[in-house]
Amino acid sequence: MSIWKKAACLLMIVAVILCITMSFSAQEQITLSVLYEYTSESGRDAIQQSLEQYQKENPHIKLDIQVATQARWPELMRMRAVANDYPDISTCVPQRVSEWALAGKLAPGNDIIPKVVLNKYDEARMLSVIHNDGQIYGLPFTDAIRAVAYNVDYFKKAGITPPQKAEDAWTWEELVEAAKKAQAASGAKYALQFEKASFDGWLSFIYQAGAELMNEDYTESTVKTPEFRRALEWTVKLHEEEIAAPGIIEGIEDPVRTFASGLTTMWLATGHWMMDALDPQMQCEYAYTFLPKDVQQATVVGGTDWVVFEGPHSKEAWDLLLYMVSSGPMASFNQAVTSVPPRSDVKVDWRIHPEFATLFAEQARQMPENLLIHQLHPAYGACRDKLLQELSACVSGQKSVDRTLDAMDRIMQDALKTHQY
Amino acid sequence: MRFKKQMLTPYIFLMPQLLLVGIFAFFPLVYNLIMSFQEIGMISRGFVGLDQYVNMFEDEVFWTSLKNTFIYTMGTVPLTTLFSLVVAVGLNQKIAGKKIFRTIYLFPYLTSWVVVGLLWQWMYSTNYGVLNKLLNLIGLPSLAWLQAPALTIPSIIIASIWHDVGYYMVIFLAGLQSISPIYYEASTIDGANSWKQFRFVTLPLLKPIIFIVLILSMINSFKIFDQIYVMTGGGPGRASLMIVNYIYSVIITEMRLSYASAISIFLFLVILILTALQRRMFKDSDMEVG
Amino acid sequence: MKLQLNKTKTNKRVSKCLLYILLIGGAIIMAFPIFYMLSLALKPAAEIYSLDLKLLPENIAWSNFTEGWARSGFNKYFLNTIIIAIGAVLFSVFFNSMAGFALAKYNFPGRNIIFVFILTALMLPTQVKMVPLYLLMINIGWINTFQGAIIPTISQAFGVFLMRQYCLTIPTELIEVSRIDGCSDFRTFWQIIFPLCKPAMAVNIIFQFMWRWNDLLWPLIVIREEKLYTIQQGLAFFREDPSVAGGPIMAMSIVSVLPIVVLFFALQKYFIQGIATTGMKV
Repeated sequence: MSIWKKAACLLMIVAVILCITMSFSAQEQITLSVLYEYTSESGRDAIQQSLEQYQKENPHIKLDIQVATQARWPELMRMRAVANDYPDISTCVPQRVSEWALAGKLAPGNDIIPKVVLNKYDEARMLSVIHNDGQIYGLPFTDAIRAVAYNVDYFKKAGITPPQKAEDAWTWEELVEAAKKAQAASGAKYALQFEKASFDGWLSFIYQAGAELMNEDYTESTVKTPEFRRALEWTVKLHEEEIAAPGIIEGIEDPVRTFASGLTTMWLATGHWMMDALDPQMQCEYAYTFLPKDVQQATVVGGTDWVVFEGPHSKEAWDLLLYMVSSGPMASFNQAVTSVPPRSDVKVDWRIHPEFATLFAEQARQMPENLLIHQLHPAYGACRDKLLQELSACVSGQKSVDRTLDAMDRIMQDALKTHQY
Repeated sequence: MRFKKQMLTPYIFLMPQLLLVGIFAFFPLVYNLIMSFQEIGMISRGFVGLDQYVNMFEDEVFWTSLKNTFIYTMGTVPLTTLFSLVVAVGLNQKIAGKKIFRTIYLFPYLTSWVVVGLLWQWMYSTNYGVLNKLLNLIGLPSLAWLQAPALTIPSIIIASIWHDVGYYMVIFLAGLQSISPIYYEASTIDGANSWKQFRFVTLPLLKPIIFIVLILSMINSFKIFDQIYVMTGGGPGRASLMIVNYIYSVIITEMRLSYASAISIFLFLVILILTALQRRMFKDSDMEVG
Repeated sequence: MKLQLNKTKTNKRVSKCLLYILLIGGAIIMAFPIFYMLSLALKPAAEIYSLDLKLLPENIAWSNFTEGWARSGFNKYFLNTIIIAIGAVLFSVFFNSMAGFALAKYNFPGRNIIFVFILTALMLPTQVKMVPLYLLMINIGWINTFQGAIIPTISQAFGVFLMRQYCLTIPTELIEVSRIDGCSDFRTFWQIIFPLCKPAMAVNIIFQFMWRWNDLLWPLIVIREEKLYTIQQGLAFFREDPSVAGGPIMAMSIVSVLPIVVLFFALQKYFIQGIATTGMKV
């Protein structure tokens, strides 16, 4: 080939390359960083599928996805926060949203959310994502309702049918009696067990006793009240008398294994999200009943929200968020994890035990308003891990009830001072 | 020319390792030092002098974690050293099946705590643990291994010893095998039995190795994290909260980075001082540390 | 005289017996948890959750392995972890031997200080280093990359100790002879010293490989994309999913340990030689 031909070939190649690169840059790819947490594989798969669908429909957006189990999410989110490497959009447990909102890390979407979508959400449920004078930082994705799981075979042996209507819910004494009878009839090692190493589950019992964490203006801790003491003493007594299985609140024993292997007759403050794990592992039949009442009925409704972080692409992130909470993705996720969608227009048929859906709906209505607000208060979110450590020390016999109440009071008071709206 | 080149050679050989140590070990140390004099976290305030250290000394949880770490170290270090020495001496004799024994004793060290932490948690379980079942089988009562606050740290010590014995056994074996048999022959001629041989030949010659093992195991005990994270999370309450676990929770749960740095620097100084003290105690013996 | 000899002979036999009993007893205690893990991995859920004490499974549940493997995506994680471990080992072995050689065979100003410098690297736990190193990784864009997972982990001091001890036993004459022959020090190192260090390197390889294989915290921080996870990451997430039963978790745990065991057996000959001749000089 002559030198001119060679030069012409080279020029052509260069031209082709330039065209290709220019066409790429003309598309202007935006990369959104997504972080989400999951409690079960089916939930993870459902979210993953929805995200991939979104990417297909929006080819100019590239999703950079990081996944974490619910236990690991705080760790991974913190590491990213430390390096100022926030994701653009993330799932978040409702109790933790306020912390990020108060620190100014979230991007509001008041101008972006269509009114139509807002109206579909219950006002009370939106409390977790609305902060700083009405700024809306995200939208709820799923509701998680706590109730009581029980071993049907054991209760059949004792001839007891747990209440299936909210007005018939047991009192604390009735619940313990029933559990003891079922234990005697079945030979189970313990009568009942608490949820797991989490203060949220135990919160229900505080409010059932008529106590609360803080006062009306959210300025002072109300831990050192006789009602709160009553709830704590009741819990400690159950452990002392070996009615409640040890090690669960302390986080040392595996609650799923304890209940599934038939060591207890009842699992307090657990919810429908556990059915995914219980169904294949449970050695007997199981069902749900209502959380007991003392002065009043009270349950904690948790769940998951999607939130958007401040960043150069917050507008695109909100677009993705609105897609994830639209009926398709929301329904597929709630279906996969057997959970409750927080929107009135999205209906889900549970694939596991659909017969329990009505019970959970009724149970959800038993949440007193002060519990709803207090559990979402930034002070609670900031100190609940420390509160759990105190509870764990008390229940395992290391600290007396008096000293525990003092410690919890101090913790709550400190948190209220530094974490206000 | 040749002279200059020769002088540079060791530095060139050392360069890559030093670079790595400088960037990935020294830089974090300096970073933590600088951070510890500031207040940085969710809310940042800049330079605050010794405030973080004052906070640390007034922090009840910090002292608990320090106490727990000390207790754990005092339990683990002597026992691990003793067991690994005994096993190494035993395996150094003329016996059959050395390879199999060595593998069995070293195997636990090859596993990660993510793998065996859960296993031990299940074995120790008060509700369904196999250890209690075995105890009951021979008529002994069940123990609340991890769940009783007084037993939590001892239970973790047992699991740690099980895991690490193989590692120190290897180090002792290396030392034992390099003791020249001449010494033993000489002492046999002098009429020494095996126990006397051990006391007057093996032990003194092994002193430097014992020292190394003590230091290594002490440093590793102070840095304990994985077992606690997987088996108890610091619980029940704070009965098994160790210093590194506390540092970790301060970063992850409370996001008080500077406070965590202050505690880290404190930990580093403690390890440094203890190492120097131990070195002084063994100074009379021949030390090939250069 | 004869009586005395007989006495020592029986004494020796008795003490040998005692020795065997102790060693076997110890071995049983050491092996029991692993054996228990194996039995859990082979039991179906019903047997794991039964409250009777049965150490051996009645029905072997191979499904624990197949189900675990299918659900956890372990095939990808294996590959990733192998790449990271081999990368770390290659770098470590090379740099450690160079550093050990320099510290053992050369006398130069600052030698002690440098040695202490390297020693202090041992004293900081990863949890303390994770924040600044994470910031560093973000700044140089090494998040979610293999180099980010490998390079920060190879500053271990263990290998330097080991190589230094071993190099101390290599006669200095070898180096002087090759110098007289006109070899540069680098050639001497590469062609003579390096091959001689094989036994000690075997020990280093096993331990470095194992430490990288078992590392959880650093990959958890640096690696974000699921397809780049290491085995420990995958195992940790697998374990924390409450819908995963005990059997598959234990099965996958065993699978994750196998490569280390295989490596150990393969290199055992060199390992033993390395221990014997590494001359922790007495």
